[in-house]
Amino acid sequence: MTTPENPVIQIAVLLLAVMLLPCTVKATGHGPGNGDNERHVRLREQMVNRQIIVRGIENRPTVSALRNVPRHMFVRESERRQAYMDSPLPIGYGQTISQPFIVAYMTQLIDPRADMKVLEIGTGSGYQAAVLAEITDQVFTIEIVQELGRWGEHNLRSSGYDNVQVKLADGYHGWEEHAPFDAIVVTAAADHIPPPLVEQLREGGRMVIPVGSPFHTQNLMLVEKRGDDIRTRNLMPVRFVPFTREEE
Amino acid sequence: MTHRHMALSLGVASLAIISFQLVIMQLLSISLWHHFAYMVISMAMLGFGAAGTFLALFRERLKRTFNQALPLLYLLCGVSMTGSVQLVGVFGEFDAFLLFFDRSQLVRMSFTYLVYCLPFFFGGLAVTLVFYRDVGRIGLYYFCNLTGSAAGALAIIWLFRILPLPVIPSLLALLPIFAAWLVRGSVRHFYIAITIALLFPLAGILKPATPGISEFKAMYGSLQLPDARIMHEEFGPYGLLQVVRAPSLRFAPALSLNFRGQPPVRDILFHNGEYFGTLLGGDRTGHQKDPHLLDYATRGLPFALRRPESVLILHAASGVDVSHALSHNPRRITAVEPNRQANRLLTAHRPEWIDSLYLKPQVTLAGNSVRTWLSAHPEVRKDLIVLPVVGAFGGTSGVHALQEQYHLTLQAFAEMYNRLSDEGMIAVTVWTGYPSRKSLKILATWRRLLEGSTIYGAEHHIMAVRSWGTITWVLSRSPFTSEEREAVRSFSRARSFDPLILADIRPGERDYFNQVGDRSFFSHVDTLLYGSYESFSGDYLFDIRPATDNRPFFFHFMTLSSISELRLQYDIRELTYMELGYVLAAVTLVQIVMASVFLIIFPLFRVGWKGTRRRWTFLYFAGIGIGFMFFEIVLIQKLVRYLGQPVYATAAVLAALLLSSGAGSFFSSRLQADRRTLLRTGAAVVALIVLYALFLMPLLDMSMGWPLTARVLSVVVLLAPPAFFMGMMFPFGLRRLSGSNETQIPWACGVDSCLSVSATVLATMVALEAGFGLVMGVAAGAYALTTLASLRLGGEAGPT
Repeated sequence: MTTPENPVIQIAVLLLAVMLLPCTVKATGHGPGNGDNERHVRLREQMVNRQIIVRGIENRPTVSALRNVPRHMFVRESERRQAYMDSPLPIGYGQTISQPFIVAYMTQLIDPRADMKVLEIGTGSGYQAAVLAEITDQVFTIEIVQELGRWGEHNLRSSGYDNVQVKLADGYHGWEEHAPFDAIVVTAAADHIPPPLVEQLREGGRMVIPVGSPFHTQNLMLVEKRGDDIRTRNLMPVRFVPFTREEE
Repeated sequence: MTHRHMALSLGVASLAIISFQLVIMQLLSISLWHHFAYMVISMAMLGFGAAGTFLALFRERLKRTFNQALPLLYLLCGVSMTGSVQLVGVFGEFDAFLLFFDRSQLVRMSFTYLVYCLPFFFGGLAVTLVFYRDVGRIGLYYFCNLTGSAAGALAIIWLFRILPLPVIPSLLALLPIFAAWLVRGSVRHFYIAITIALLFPLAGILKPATPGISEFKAMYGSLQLPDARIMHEEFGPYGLLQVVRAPSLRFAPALSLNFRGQPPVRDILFHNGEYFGTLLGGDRTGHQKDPHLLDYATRGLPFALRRPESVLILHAASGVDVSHALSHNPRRITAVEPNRQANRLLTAHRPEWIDSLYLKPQVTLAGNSVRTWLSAHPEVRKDLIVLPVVGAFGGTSGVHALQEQYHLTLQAFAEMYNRLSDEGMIAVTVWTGYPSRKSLKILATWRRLLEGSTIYGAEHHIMAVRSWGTITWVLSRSPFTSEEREAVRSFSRARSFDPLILADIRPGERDYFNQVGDRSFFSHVDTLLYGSYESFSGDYLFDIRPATDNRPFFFHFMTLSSISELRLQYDIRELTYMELGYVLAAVTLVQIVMASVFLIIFPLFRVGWKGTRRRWTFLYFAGIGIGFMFFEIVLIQKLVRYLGQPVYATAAVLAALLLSSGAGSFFSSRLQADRRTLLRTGAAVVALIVLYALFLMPLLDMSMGWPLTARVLSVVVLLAPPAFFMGMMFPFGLRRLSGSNETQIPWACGVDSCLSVSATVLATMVALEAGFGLVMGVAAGAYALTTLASLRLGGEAGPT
């Protein structure tokens, strides 16, 4: 006789219950930071020595900033153990936190100084903004994905970066009230460079844009404004020698 | 239960099982990428193989409880069809992109793989149990099984047309449940069991699981934008079409930095979560009409050169290039777009989304694949042929490495070249990426094409202009004039672009506005243009040899031999994302081999492998497993060119092979399974595979212009002979074992299943590396091995 104790029926009921659960369970994994401790300081030191300096990053403020910013506070809980590894990491919403070397290279490219005003497009986890904030007085950062922006701002505040202004908006229009900027760092690029950003770049200013698919960022583009002349330069952070035979 | 009911139940369940296979392929194409199609075939094979092993282990118990077991297995098959889709939706959805960063994704991938195997396991067990129990009527049952399977492969295409994809698994699940009802007999509590089972599809129909889309697909990203919403959504045989609207979705791909206007906000049409096209209709925020926005991108180059009167736009998608061409007032535009579902949407249902572009008198829209259209119109001559943009901004991490691109092969360009008027041009725009691969492959292809047409001095026929993000390449039938070269200079200067290839290129001209980090790119271009491009292709770290119809994987650049060298320059994880599709295929292969050994082979050790000539048994059935699946997979990949769509190719090949090999198996029971018959049948299979490798596609090419139904029928008829003989080999082998080495039968089935499972992915990898010719060669070689092994298979006096 079929009774509720029948294991087949129990399994069936359980499976049915599972089916009726919402199908879009997705956790972002963003959580509060763990604070900074000696282990993290040591890991950062290793990161700077093994990934940054040996690859030719010589700009002192940049190296010092990388040494100070607690990168593990800017990654998801699940990726925290890998925070200081030599690779980008997923932060949800199809976005990544760049490899430490890329962040250092982008920072060095704009030749940051304390008196500079820098705009960042694409706050993400807030790590790049934190690195810039270690060096410059004013950092403005804009994030279009609301959840990411809020998380990035939380990471910045909980790590003590109060000189960063975060705006949840479409970075396409830049931040006109604070323009012109000495440098613009675009960490989340679209398939065209927004004309308003070019306009908000100070004469002689620099804009840096990474070009590459997630987990495979290899080259950066530098846009320089000199009067009406706008030139671009593709820079490859990873030295690549594709031709394997001797040049004839 | 009568044997008629039993036969009908087999047909119905088989129809559902094969249809379900194609449904999962569609689901995985939407949530992930199309290369998981091969994983789905192996999932089905694994389920069937595990069922065979299970039967070998518990055959006596199953035979004793046959009347209860059969309806229960059908019910479980139905429940698992709808349940697996829901379970994967809730727990297992994995993102292939995160596989190398998040270990849990590997677990989720395995979970998905195993859960989707369940319907095939239960269905396969029910079918083989019927065969085993009632061997006397095997002919009828096998016929119903294969006819049902073939009908399922074709019927699902019709279901895709009329029903939304998420409800189809639940509707299909009703079929095995109906099969259970047919064979219910007088099983106790059957009505309670069937009522519970019916609750699953009912729940699935009321609350269908919509496939989640990878967060690394363009569609997902666009939905993260503020106030983004899906304006339209429809499922069909071509997959999922969605239109997304957001105030920050702007149309200005690789726009010149000199552009000072406001790029327009436009809706985007996505196909299976990937960018399909921008909908240029409407005028919500300052649409630039004169000149067209694309004239501020390198895509404007062909129109800066000449004034084409007759334009052919290939893979026209939502008509962006048609709109661009129209702004230059040509006399005639032909747009070729194989996605008929999208065509119907943009012409019949919502033409206003694209300003009724396709309904304008000077525009003709053809719903064919590029190659089909070119073959069907040998007489046309065009002034300009525009190909779709190659690649995407920032790259795609090589997720498309496994996808056949028949419009970018050497043979495709040759056909296009032959359709050009005297002043005609082919134009293709490529997103730049580093290290350079796509552009170099285009140049290598064109150089070889010109030399094949005995045209030397490629620099007079090829022109290219480079911006910060794209390179537009133009190939002209007639040499470019000096006036045209000056026009290109003026076009480039006004937009901060740099000429890349001009016959009279000047020093410093190539990177005045846009400097490259690695200037060796220019020397590569020069070598490919002026030098010995073949030796260059051989030495370059990436495979930039032209894609061909034999190896149509344009986006496959990594070679096995280059991996160790690349490893010196890149972190292993970074390297992985250089060609994710290729790496995923390798990971899938490892996983599949492990799963098949674990689920099919290991359990067989319980029954032991006894008897003589085990080596020959292994070789015979290993040859069949590899040969059949290599033949099937290569045919699916080749016939994408003929039939235009992967889903049509898969359905047609499955239907043809199942039907004909089933007929062959059925017919084989009338013949003696002696060595001579085996030898002759094997030799016929090998000869036919070799013949088909050489002549199938040329034969099909003659009917490329036929309507789709006629082409599907041609495939079914043409594939019948080899499939018929292949279908005989397996039962012949089993019959020889059944007389002398009966205990080897489960092992024979296990070896066949295990290698079939692995061969699905292995065939794809061989095709990537060496082309379809070698895959066919391996198939022929495997059957040759089977034929040789047949000489020593079974006892000395093999039974009849």
